[in-house]
Amino acid sequence: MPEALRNIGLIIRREYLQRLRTRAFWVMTFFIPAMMAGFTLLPSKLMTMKVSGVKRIIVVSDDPQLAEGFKEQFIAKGNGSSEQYSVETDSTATDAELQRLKSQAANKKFDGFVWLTKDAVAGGKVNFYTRSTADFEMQERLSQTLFRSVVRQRVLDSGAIHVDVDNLLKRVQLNEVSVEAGKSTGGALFFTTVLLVAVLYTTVIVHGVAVMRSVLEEKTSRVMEVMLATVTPKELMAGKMIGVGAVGLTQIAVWAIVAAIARGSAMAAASAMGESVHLSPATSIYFTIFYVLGFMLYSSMSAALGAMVNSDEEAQQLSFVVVMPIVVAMMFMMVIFRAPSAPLSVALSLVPFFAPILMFMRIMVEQPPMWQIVLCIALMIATIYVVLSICARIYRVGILMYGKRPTLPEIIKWVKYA
Amino acid sequence: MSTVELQQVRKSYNHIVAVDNLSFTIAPGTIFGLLGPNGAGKTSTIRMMIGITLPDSGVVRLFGSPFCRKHLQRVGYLPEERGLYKKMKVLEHLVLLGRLHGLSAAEASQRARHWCERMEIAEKLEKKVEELSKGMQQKIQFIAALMHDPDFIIMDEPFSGLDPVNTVLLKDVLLEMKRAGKTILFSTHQMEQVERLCDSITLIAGGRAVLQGDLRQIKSRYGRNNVHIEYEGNGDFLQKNALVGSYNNFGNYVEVHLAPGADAQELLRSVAAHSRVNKFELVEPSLEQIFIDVVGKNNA
Repeated sequence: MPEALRNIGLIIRREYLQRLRTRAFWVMTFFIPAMMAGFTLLPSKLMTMKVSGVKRIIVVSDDPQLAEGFKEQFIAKGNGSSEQYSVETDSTATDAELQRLKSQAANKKFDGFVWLTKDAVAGGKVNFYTRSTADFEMQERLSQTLFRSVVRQRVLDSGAIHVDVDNLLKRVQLNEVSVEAGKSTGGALFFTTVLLVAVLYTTVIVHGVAVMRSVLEEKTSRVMEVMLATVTPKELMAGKMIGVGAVGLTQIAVWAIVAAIARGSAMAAASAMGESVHLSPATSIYFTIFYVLGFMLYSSMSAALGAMVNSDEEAQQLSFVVVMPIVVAMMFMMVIFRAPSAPLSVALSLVPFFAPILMFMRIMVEQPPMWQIVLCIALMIATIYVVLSICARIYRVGILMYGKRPTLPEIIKWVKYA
Repeated sequence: MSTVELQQVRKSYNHIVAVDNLSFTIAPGTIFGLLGPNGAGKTSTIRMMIGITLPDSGVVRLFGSPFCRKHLQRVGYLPEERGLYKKMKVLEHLVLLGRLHGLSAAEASQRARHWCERMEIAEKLEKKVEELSKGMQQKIQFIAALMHDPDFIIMDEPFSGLDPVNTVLLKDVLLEMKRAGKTILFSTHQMEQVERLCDSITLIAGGRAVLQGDLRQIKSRYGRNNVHIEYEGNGDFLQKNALVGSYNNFGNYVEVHLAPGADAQELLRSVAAHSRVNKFELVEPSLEQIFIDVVGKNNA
């Protein structure tokens, strides 16, 4: 049917050009990745950022050697950032001293003290008294220092002379290396995955909802009546979905190009994003596949919703139907991260409504067996076919219905109506 | 070969019958009025003619053959519910609609310019639709319905919301179309607007045809039993007068439908006895009167 193709082509063209010309498109194109990077990068940057001021810590111990060892270890551990802390030792480990230090710490004379008595060490539990318990970095440092200094002291106490204790305690770091060639690991992998999934999620939702708004606009402005004099509802819906979907693809292409330039340029060395985002060609292809499939699935539901309602308010109320499954998928993200090949992860990633997010994540984190990817895509295509044919029927009837929002039995009647 | 032919067409939505066994034909080169009150089924009928919906039963034939989408390129449609894409520019919008009707981009652009000049909105070509007044948007839709030079033009309430100057402008264009051999369908509930334009009509109420045929024949069938009276004084003569069948009083002007067998001369005498008569005219019934008559009788 060349006429149908021509009509769809004209509708795609209209949707696409109209959207590309809006300021909103360009704002979103540049704002979303910046926001995503901000959300993922900033907290971790802030967490490790040096806070102004020196933190004063007191080590109280009736064993001066242990206290000194603790102080040494604590200072040494920080390397570059050691100037942030000042550590003092105190050898009066009495109850009165404990009360005095507690009240001083409460009065902000210093930031905290470690109650490192022999009894406490023997009991296996050492208290750190402080006002703010949320300083993760200090906590981590204290706990490592504590372990090392206690072990060191125990080795010395055991009478092992002529032993280079510090050499014994020398750290060995575990380095993760992925067996997939070209895959980054650890923090960079986590960062890249979260970023890409967030972008995928936002793009599918934003453009899915755009389809709904667009249908609603045609309905409320009554331009639908004119369009239907020449095109069929199917052509209109197909053209709209492809047109809006292509806008999303354009956006992704812009992002890919910007990322490539950023990585290639000198700026990349300075920007943490350039270092840690690693995009292989395979990743880009999977990203595009899951964007297209996810968009098709969600935008067809979106189009049907748009046809069912008569106002923005009603659309807002119903949009959760479209957004919910994606949000649920996002909630399962950590399950996938922890155990990408566990039966639960495999099962969840095969559910078509979750697949765009979860299967894509699995592909990022580890390479799932090819049959699972193929099965997943096949399941999605089958689901899209079913959802699309149901939604096209709702759309066809809904676009000419004004007034009251249809009830569920009415919608079922629309679907059955051939 | 008739341009449009409906045979026993029926359509219902959720058990409500919108169009009930409706049949009519529209001869080529004529103006046809599809008339009836709001909710009579006019728009439902039109939608079936151009394939937006399909009839539950019955046959719709366009240009002598059963409905097929290819015929839509020869149809121009101005829907009652009007709307355009607000963010599009006028020229761009017209080109889109022209191309959807099978014109090439260049052809559509050239015709859009020509028509906008003709309809006196050429200076708006590069404006966005949302910047235009309602009346101008209506003209643009009117152009969109005609620019692909259709053989069959459907106008659903074309004059609603237009000022008198633009009404005349549109009417003149449509009459010119008729002279060029086009077939035109008017759908309206404002009968006085089309009664001078139409060659034949179908009056529908409740989805059913209540009166059909050649407009002149219908009018003569109803005879000259209508009287228009301009008078001064009170209108008491209208009450309890055996000569008056029904009337529509406007104060010092009244349209009287005579009771069966009544003599107009007798009425004149009885009016003159009570009031001062400035004008007394024996006229054909207006379409509206016929309609009120017919629908009233059907409901009774």
